[in-house]
Amino acid sequence: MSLGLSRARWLALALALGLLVLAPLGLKRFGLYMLSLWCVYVIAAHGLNLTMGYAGQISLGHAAFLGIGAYASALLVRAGLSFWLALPLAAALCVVCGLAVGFPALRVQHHYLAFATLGFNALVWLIMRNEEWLTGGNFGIRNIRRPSLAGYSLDGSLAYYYACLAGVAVMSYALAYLLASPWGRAFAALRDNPIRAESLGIDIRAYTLAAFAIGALYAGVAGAFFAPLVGFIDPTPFNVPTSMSFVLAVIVGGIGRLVGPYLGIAVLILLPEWLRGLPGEGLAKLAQEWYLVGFGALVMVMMVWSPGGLLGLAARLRGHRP
Amino acid sequence: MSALLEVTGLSKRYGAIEALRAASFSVAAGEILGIIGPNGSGKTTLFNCILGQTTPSGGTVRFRGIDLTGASPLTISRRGVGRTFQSLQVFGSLSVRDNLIAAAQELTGSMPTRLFAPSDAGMGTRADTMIQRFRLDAVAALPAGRLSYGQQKLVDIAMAFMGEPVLVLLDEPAAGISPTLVEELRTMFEGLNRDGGATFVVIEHNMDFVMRLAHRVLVLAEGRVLVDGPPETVRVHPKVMEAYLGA
Repeated sequence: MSLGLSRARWLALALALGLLVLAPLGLKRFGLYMLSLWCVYVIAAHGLNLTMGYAGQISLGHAAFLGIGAYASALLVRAGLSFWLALPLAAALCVVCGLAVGFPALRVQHHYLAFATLGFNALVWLIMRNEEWLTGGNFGIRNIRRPSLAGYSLDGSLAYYYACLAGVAVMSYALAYLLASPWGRAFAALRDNPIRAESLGIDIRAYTLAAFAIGALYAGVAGAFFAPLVGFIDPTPFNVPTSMSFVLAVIVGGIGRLVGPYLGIAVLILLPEWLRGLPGEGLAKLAQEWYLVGFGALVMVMMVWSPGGLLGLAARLRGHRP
Repeated sequence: MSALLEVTGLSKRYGAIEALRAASFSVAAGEILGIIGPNGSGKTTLFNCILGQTTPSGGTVRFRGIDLTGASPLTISRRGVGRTFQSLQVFGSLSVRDNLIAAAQELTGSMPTRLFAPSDAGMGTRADTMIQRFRLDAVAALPAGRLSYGQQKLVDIAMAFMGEPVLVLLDEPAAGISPTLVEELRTMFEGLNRDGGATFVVIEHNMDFVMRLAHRVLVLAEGRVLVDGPPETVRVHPKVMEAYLGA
């Protein structure tokens, strides 16, 4: 099936991929780490974008799936499984959890659903913190090793960056394929008008559950890549504030647009690091101190003036309505 | 003609309010039934009970001889019953063509197979035919939410026909559109009925429209069927005059 992309878009895609392949040139270990983290978070944000942006279901617990994916893969690898087997198993576990979280969405919507997913995140976080026998509690899981692929070690920062980049490329293509299929149209119908969708034979229950399950799968895959990237996991990166950050990143980038998460996650994690490197110590310090304030203000401005996020803003500037 | 839809003793109670009181009627295959009645007479409740949007308090709904009382809108839709709503119900972010494809894509195959189906789910040609029939060519690629009210109305109605339904229930299709478009709609419906054998039940306040289109008219008042007969009889029936004018 064709993805329905124009020639210009294929060219832009090839250019972007080329830039990402060349991006590590001149970067040191920390720069590579940040780029790898960007890849991992983009995979997770793709999942949230599907659940919220395409299918219209509120989810404030996305970081919990990231955590489940990270812990599950780390524990499975520790138990002796290959990372490449642990990754799909962790993703499958997230699918099951995503289905469980999707069931409330069949009964409640809007802020009630928001609270249900928020509660799920809090519950998962508490399990990660309190069930020391399994998760290590606040001490977490240490010394998570990076995998090998066909005998080639991915332990180095550059090698692991390319593994993460391949991961984001595969997951992005899979999402583009899914959205170009009739499923993409059914998700949009569910988001725009569920009552009408059901009257036209669209199984809104099945698509709602699928939206949560696939969204969770993406976060699970991201979690599996996240654990070996950082080498140590504890409950902190999987708490409610991280879920909120994902929501904000998806909104800022352009909710319901495939490219949105790339931009949103860049604003969330790469921009502050870039600001840190501004010339002049005072300017860099000022930018760092005020970054979160600026990010919050940007989200507010976006919600009022450009609900389509940065991509919507770009379309507006070009004279198209988002 | 055999009965396609049989409604028997259909009732709906909301607390102390009886929105529908033992309404009974049938619709034959190939027939156009008009339903009229003052505001609050139970017309839309009747539709919602037939189509599974509301569970009736009593009575039965049989379609092609199968009891569909209380079945879900999804089941009823997949049995071949299309509908439009009183208010506009299009998918605003999707293009007109995608709205039409979405209206029929789920009626064949299964959810897993649709993941690997062509993007238009094999409904592209039919969507293009409907676009031409409803004269939506110029706006086919635009998001439906950006169209004028009249254009969205056409999209809304065209969607109800995309799945080639056996029976279509239209809730006030002529409301809020220009007299020219009303006339065009009537001609379209007559064509779909004459050439395609489509069966309609039409709720409408526009008396001229419904009296010219329907083969038979049913009058509802306070949830009851007041009169059921040919348009020319209903038009001058004393009970109808009383229900509308209170005289």
